[in-house]
Formats: sequence, structure tokens, C-alpha cells
Amino acid sequence: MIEIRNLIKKFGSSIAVNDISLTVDRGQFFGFLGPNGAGKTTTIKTLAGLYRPTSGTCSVNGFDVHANPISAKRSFGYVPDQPFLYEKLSGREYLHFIGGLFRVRADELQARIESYVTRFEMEGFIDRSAEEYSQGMRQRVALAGALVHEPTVLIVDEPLLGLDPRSSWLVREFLRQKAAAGMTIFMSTHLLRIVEELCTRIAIVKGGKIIYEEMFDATGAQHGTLEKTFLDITR
Amino acid sequence: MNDVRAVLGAKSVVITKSLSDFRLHGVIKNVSSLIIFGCMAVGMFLLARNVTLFLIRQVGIGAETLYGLVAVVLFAFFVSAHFMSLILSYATLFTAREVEFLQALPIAHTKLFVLRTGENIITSTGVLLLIGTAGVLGYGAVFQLAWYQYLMMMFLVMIPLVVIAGILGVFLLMVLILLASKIGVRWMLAAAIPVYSAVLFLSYRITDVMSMVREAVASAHGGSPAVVEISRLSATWLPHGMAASALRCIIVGDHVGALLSIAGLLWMLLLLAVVVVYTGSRFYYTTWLLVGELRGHHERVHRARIAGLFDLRRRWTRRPNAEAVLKRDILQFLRDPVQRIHALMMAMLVVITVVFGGLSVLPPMRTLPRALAMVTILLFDGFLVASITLRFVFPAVSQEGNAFWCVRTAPISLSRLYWMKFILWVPIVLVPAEVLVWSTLPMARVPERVMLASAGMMAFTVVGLVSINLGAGAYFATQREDNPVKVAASQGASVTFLVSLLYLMVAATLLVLPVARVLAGAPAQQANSMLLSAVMIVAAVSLSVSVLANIVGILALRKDF
Repeated sequence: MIEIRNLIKKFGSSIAVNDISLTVDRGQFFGFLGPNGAGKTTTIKTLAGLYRPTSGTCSVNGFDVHANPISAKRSFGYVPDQPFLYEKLSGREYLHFIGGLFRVRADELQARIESYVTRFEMEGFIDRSAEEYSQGMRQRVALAGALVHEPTVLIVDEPLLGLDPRSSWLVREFLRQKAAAGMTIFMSTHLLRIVEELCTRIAIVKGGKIIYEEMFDATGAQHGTLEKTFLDITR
Repeated sequence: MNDVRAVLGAKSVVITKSLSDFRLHGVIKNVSSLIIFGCMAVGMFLLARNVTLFLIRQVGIGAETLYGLVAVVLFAFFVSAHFMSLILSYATLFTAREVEFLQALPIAHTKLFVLRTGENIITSTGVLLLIGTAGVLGYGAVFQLAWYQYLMMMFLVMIPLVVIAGILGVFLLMVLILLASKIGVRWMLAAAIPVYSAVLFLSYRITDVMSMVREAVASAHGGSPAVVEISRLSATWLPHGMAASALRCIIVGDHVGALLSIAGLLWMLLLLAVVVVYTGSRFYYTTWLLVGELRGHHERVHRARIAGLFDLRRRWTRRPNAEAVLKRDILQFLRDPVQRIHALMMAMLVVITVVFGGLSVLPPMRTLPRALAMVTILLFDGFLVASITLRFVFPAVSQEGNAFWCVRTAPISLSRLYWMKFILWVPIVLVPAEVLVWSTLPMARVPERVMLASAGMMAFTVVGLVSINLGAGAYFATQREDNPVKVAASQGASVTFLVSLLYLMVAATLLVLPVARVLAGAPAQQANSMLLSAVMIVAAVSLSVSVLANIVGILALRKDF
């Protein structure tokens, strides 16, 4: 489970995140939406431990990400919006590197990597150098990297960015199955159709504040389409 | 020319913004740069003035010998500037992302080449020019010159000398790339390294460094300056010889002679500029394309052979996270052709120094000059070690690159990540440092106990240098710059290099008096005790510096990414 309490993040005098509090329960598929510059990526980066909060706390599975980072990080996987990889390593080497960082046993790691290579259809490029990868290839390798230690929480920022239709379908199906199996997923995206399809709960953020929160029943019946809701409240 | 003006305009905006960065980090960087560069320039001015005064008044050196020694110093200066330009030009002219962007714009390749060459010369030799000019002005100050003579020294001697060195670096690199495209990178390196070493050695012989030193010693004993006259004639047609000749003529008031030497220098500069611009107009675009092809081809061939011991799929220790970080750093280093080639070039410099050191023996001297000569050699070794450290250790944290997110979100402590880098680099820097000490100090005919003390001092100094560069490298880290050469040539790197030199000078100075006492024939027990005390003081200074630098580095790693 994810818990964010009174999170404020300032860069100099500008406030990127302004007193956000939210809780994502175990097994929820949480959609974090908002216009450009609303504070989504800053919130996610702070949650993942890449930014220090100006004030407030973020915790994952009961571990404060900034006070107890090692335990917290062991329990979640993270995929950024631009998943840069090590250019001089192949995708497979990258996955072994991540497995080493997370102290996954070598034999288990090997089996998991093979499974994700098949699952995300990476056989054709996984042994090539990352500098030859397209955005979609990087995205799939990074997603596999976020999962090799079998986290119970997944934090993903624009996971479908740059994916071709087949890869997008593969990732969506995978996320849906993981959520159904009890994984907590915190996802930021601009693809409202995907949110309607996958998420069980959403929050819309604007100007660093949450301006709308709702349990989402996948039909969007309460406010018509999600797109209309989004456009109305972010106007 | 609108296109050139637009590029220059954009550059000047970037520079202005970077200089007027009023955030804490930016202010610290800019103010510390200003203080350190300023202190270094003033320090160099005073050092050159006092050394010249010492040589003239205390040693009683003649004008001709002084001129010869200036030629030797300018030779070292010229080679350093040329080498810096050669190293940096690969990034500035060929692999920088900015070049890819500019190549896609409708700008003539010749204009682009001239722009990038200019930028390369400024960034690669700027610090050296500052230090060199301050030194030359300090040397001139002894003779109480008129204002226009200082201007002549700066603008008509030092700047042309540096530009020639910079242009030669770019020219040589283009020739090497063309050669690599014909015969392959390995054969090119196999051919280029001996030829380059031979040219350096020949220039060293022509400049006749040892004769200058012998002559200086002979002057101190009232000897004849005959040897210098010969070497003066033979070195005059080389750029550093012309510059030394011009400086000498300016100082003695021989304006015709000065103008002749300056004309020779400018003529050489013009000729070289024409040749390089012509080469650039013919081959810049071709070589730029070739670099792209060579990089891709070479990396694919190389990758299959490297893994082995560093294979991430195998585990050798019970700490898989630390092992993974170490292997990743080594693999990334070995697979980057820029890193490999620069490592080879640095190794070549060490070998050249070792060979020169082995071939040269200083003449017998009195105690204090001998101790000073030994410390000077040690300082030169330290300078080389500091350059290696700057080039490879300073960018180590920046080399985490844009992919730093995956380590930052993994359950590994940032201090462990930092210490893994420290553990990796200390032995790598220590080996050449000790080789240099043991192969160059015999030149000064010092006893074994002094050699041991120097080796000990160098070991502690290496710990200090690695800490300074790693810590400052973390503080000034630019993960968005994927080219380590650019990182090692940044403003932060220049400041770090100057701090490293200052630290080296403090460490080496601590050895002068004990060594002089030992050379003066102090009893064995007393000599050992003095040397040990000096090494212990260096150790204490180095460990204090190390602790401070590493704390700064570890804290800097925790910055927002």
C-alpha cells in the first residue's frame, strides 16, 4: 500500500506539489492524472525517492521512502516516463544488474528474466546494446527491470509512452493481470481511455493539488466520459 | 554569416546564463571558480617571479641559460595544451550531441568545423593559458618591462603558441580518424603511438632539456654557457623555441629580434590554420560520419569479447548489489571507445615519462638544489597522476548518467555506491603513480630511504587525489552529460584540478626540508625519523582532505535527480 501525507515539494520559490495526501490500498490500480506541469511526475519521483520532499512523508508498504529507503525500495518497482538505460549494456545485462542490486538469487533471477523476455516479446533485441533500442524497447526492458524482484507495489509514469499497438496491448494485459493478482499499481498517464480500461480509482491533480478523486468503476458513467470530466475540471 | 552569428549568439546566452546562476550551487561554483582561478594566477605569477629572481640572484644563472630553461618550460606547456586539445576535440568536434544537431542544420561544414575548433581550443586550453600567461608575466616582472611588452607577451606570444598547440591537436585527430577508416582502429593505434612518442622524444631532444639543467648547475658553479648556444639554435624553429626566443628578445629590448620571432610564430599559426581549415573543409563531414560508423562497428566487435570475469550473469561474491555496481562500472568503461583510447593515451604518457626518466640523470648538485630537483620531479609525477585522476575519477559519478534513476530507486545505499567507486579507482591510480615515482626519482640520485618516503607520500596523495576528484565530481555531477571528456573539461573540473595541484604542492613541499637534511648526510636514524615524520604529516593532511571530500561527495549523491 502507498501512503502520501501532506506532501509539499518546492523548487526554489515555485511549488510543484502543494500539500498532497492520498492513500492507495493494496490491490488498487490507481490512475494519477493531470495536465502538463500539474505536479504528477514530481509526486511520483518523490514517492520513488528521487526527490527529497520539502515537507510531508511518502511511505510504501509501511516503510517511509526517505527515512527507511532501503526497506521501502525493496518493496516497490519503478518505471520513469523516460526510462534511460545504460547505453553500453545489453537489455539482458541490465536486467541482471538490477537483479543484483535487489539481491535476487541468481537462479531465480535467470528464470524471471527468461519469463519476462518471452512475456514482453523481447527475444529479438534483449542481447543487443541499449544504445540501439527504440523508446518502446527501452520501455519494455525498464518494465521488466522493475518487476524482476517481484514487488508488491508498482509505480509507473506514462508506461505506454512510445509503445507500438502490440507492445501497448502486451503491457496493458500484463498490468491488468498483476492488478487482479493483488499488486498495487500507481500509474500516471495522459491516456484517458487506458485509465477507463484499467484503473479502479483515480485522482486528478492541478497546480500541485488534488482537485478530484474518485473510485472509478471502469465505465465512467457517473460523469459521462472521463475525458469530459477531465476537461471540465482542469479548465 | 547569419548562421554563424546565430550559433555564437546562442552560445553566449548559455554562457551568460551559466555565469549569472544565483542559486546556491551556482553561486558556490562561480565564486569558488573566481577565487581559485584568481589565486592560481596570482600564485603562478609570484612563483615564476620568485623562481626567476632565485635563479638570477642566488644561482647566478646567465641570460642564455635562463632563455633555455624558459624554452623547456614552454615545451612542457605546449605539449600539455596540444594533448588537452587532442583529447577534447574528439568530443567537441565529433561525438557531442550538439554537433549532431548542428550537422542537421543548413550550415556549411567548413563554418561548423571552424566554430567547433575554436570552441575546442578555448575549452581545452583556457586554464593552461591562464596559468601560462600568469607565469610568463611573473617572469617578465623581474625585468620591470613597459606595459606594451606585457601585452606583446600575452597576445603575440602566449595566445598564438596555445592556438598552434590546439590546432595541431584537432589536425592530428582528423588524420588519425582518416587513418583508422583505412586500416582499422587497432592498426592506427599501433602505428600512431610509436610515431607520436618518437616526435615527442625528438622535440625533447632538440629542446635539450638535460643540457639546460646541466647548464643551470654549471652556472651555479661558474661554468660556461657554451652548450646552451647550440641548443638555442636547434630549438628555434619549433613553436615553443620561437616563443622562448620572442620572450628573451622582449626582455633584453631587442625589438627587431622579438618581432622576427613573433612573425615566425604568427606565420606558423597562419600556415597551420590554412592547412587545418582546408583539411576541415575537405574531410570534416566525412570524418564525422566515419566516427559514427567506427563507434558502432568497434563496439559490436568488442562487446562479445569483454564480458568474462565481469559477466553480470555470474556471481563471485555474497554481496550481489556491490558486485553488480562494480561490474557495471568496469563494463561501461571498457566498452566506451573514448574511455579506452584515453586510457591508452594516458598509459602512453606514463610510459614516455618512465622512459625519459630512465634515460636521464641529473648532474651532481649541492644539497638544496638536489632536494628541490627531486621534489620538482615528484611534482611532475603528481601532475600526471592528477591529470589521470581528473580525466577518469572526476566523471565517475556523472557517468551514472540518465540511468541513475534505476540505482536511486534500488535498495542500495548511496554511500555504498560511492565507496565502490572509491575502491575501484584508488588501486587503478595508485599503480601508475608508484611506477612513476620508482622510475623517475632515480634521475635525482636520491638514496633508497628517500625513494621509499616518496613512494609512501605518493600512496597517501593518491588517496587524497581520488577523494578530491570523486567528491568534487559528485558535487559538480552532470548526469545529463553522457560524455566523460566534457565532464572532465567542465568548469567544476577545472576548479577541482587547481585544488588538486594546490594539494600536491603542499604535500611535496612537506618533503623538501627532510630530504635536504638526508642528502646533507644526516645520521641514518635521524634521517629515517625525519622522513617518517614528513610522510606521517602528508598522511594526516591526505586523510583529512579525503574525509572532507568524501563527505561532500556522499552528501551530493543525495541531491534530487
